[in-house]
Amino acid sequence: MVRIASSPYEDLETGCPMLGHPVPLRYCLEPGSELPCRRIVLCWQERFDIAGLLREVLTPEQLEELEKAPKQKISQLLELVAKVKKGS
Amino acid sequence: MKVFLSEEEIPRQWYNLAADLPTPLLPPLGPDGNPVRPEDLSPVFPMNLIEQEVSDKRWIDIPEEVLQLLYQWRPSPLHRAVYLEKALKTPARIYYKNEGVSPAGSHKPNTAVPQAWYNKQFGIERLTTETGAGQWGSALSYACALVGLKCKVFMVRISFEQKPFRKLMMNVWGAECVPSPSTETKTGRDILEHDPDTPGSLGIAISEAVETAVADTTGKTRYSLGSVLNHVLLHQTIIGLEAKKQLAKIGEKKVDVVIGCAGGGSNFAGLSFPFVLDKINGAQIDIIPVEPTSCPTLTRAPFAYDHGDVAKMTPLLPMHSLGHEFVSPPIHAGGLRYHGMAPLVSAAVVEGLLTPKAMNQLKCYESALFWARTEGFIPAPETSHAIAAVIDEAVKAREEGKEKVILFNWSGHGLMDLKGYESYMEGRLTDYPLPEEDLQKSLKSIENLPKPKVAKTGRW
Repeated sequence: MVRIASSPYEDLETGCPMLGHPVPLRYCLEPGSELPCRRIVLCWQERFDIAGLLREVLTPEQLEELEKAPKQKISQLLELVAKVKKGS
Repeated sequence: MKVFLSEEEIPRQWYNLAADLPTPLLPPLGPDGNPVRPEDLSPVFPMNLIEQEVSDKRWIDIPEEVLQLLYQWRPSPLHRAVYLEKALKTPARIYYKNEGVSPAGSHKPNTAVPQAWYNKQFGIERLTTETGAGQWGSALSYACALVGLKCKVFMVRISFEQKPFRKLMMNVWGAECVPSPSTETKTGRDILEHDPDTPGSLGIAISEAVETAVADTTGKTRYSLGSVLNHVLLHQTIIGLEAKKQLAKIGEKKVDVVIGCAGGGSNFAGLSFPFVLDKINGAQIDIIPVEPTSCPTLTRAPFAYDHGDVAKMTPLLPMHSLGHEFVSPPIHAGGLRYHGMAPLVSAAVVEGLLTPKAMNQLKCYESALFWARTEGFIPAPETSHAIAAVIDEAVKAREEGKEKVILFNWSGHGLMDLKGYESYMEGRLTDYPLPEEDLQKSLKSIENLPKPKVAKTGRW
């Protein structure tokens, strides 16, 4: 999991379009996964230089991973199915 | 003024836009890079829903038994917003479908109910799903109670803690709702072992829901999704199909503007797709999906698509509200790519059939309050985006002196979202418009990027 150094903005809140309620920036930075939320730049770019923050705290590999085009929902589901079957 | 349809007048078929898209959707790709086959989806969905997901039939019959269940709140009323019209002194006639009258308080049961029914028909005994704030989780819980299925909802932990009432609604309808990550799946246990205090995410919750369905060796559990997929949008089209009948009933022959808020796309698609068909057939209609400026997908996200996988993520360069063609600032060479919108909605945007618009949150709350103080109902925050756009259109009609007909989807009530209203009324919300200087800097940073291909006919 990415641990991002404290930011003066991390307690700021924005409405999360995925969850449907407000979340603090620190959630978008560490949403229970290895990378920040894929939407983080879209959701925060109007408030401060989020892209600059990410460039500071993420490795080039992590940035590259974050920038990859997300798969379609169906493709995501099939990957999960394959993962479950592989693990069982 | 309200327009009702009797149960006998309810539409008996759903409309499938996939049949009429001028540039057809390509099939999604599986993990092996090949197009997904229907049987690939069978571990997560029953075959009767998979058939709808991949169907290119224009009209799909709604089973009589599903209609019998939908009658609990459908046909939903079409209201004319006469109080808002008067307050705005607009010559426009504003109509809205009130989807807040469903038992779960939103449009979500329009697909939850048929999904539960089709699963039951297929011999499934339990459904799993994930939920954030709980709107979808509560809708599916209600639907499962109707048809006699067990329901297990993995609710993102941060939402579980923030939205206790939605969890209670699920419990009232007999569903089990657990915070995700949970100790009930391998995925959840692995994550908790690594980070016991994790707030969870939708990605984790989806993984848990899918694992629970796939790992059930009896084959009696499936997974259910409330947005994005084609069959979900299909079920929602009953909204727009009812609206057409209701407008015809009162002699409205032409709609000028159709508006809906667009998150994953299902409520917008539900109202608008039947009108998109009219537009494809030559009607002059402005069809507007509205999203927040704080996190725009359709109006700003660069819909870059991986090579060889065309049409659904093609770059969009619509007009930004400041009047610029804008793409979000890249964080690295390629820029952030995001695609969270239903492929059918995205494809219609790329084709030019839809004109996306973004609204800032202060304007949305201001519009929601104006609405509540004129029309009475308190809208869900996402619904307020549509209301803000409707008010803009109505004011424009006044300024132009045109008697436009505006139709929008009042997708749900906001009685579970009053904290957001409190923040607005106490002045704790602010908007953060992007400074012009930053905008120009962003534009400069992308000016040399290759322009991706856009798959469209160019008719609109």
